Amino acid sequence: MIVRTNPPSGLDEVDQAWFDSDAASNDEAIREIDAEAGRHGLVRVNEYWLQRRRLPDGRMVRRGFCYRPEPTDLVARLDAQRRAEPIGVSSGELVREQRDEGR
Amino acid sequence: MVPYIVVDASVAGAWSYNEPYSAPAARVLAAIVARRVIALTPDRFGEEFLSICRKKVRPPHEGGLSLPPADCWGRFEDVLTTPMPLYLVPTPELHERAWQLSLSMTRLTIHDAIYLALAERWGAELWTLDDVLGGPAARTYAAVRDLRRHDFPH
Repeated sequence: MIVRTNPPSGLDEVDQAWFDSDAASNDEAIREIDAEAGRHGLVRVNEYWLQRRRLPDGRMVRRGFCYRPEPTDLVARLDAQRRAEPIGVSSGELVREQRDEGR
Repeated sequence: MVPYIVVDASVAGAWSYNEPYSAPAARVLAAIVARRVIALTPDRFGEEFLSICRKKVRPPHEGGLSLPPADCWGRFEDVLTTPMPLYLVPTPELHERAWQLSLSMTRLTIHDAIYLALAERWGAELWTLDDVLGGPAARTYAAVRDLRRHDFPH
């Protein structure tokens, strides 16, 4: 469960915030934080192991830092680049070459 | 609740370069950017995607597109630095399960099994364009989705 946020309110307007989860595991805390952050249009930073913190009341929590992503034209940009080139070999085949080398 | 998906590097290659399945792969990227899904991938995704980019620099008779190196590096950086919910998960977390999975199937390499272990751990769909992940691996984990045969629903 999300037990604390910073800031405590107005999360739909802020550009960054953190969320404290008291979930028993790191993965479960990530799920809770991602879900709550998503409700406010925020995205967790790319940090797999969440920091553990003890709250003033003694509860141990895991903390996820989140930000509001700025709009990106990545999809359109890559689309334009792809349209300017011939069709190549599937990356499925390219990764298979690589993965089979590791057998 | 926004669903988690696991994205194979082969899908990132197809959304970055013109390939037979670029259109469905681009829909996966669009869903990540729009935060309709949260994408997870093993941290080795970076090296695999970089290797795809390197191969695109090669001439066509070697499987590449003769693209300028700066162009390919730019696409690599673009994908990995754009703010979007694409999370690299440390592979040591997945080693034990990947080991077990790789022993359960002859064609499955450790590299394949890492992806499968990640998807299994998160109960996530695994989207791929790879014959092994999309073929034999799909028999051990029901949520494997080959983008060549499944429409991306998110």
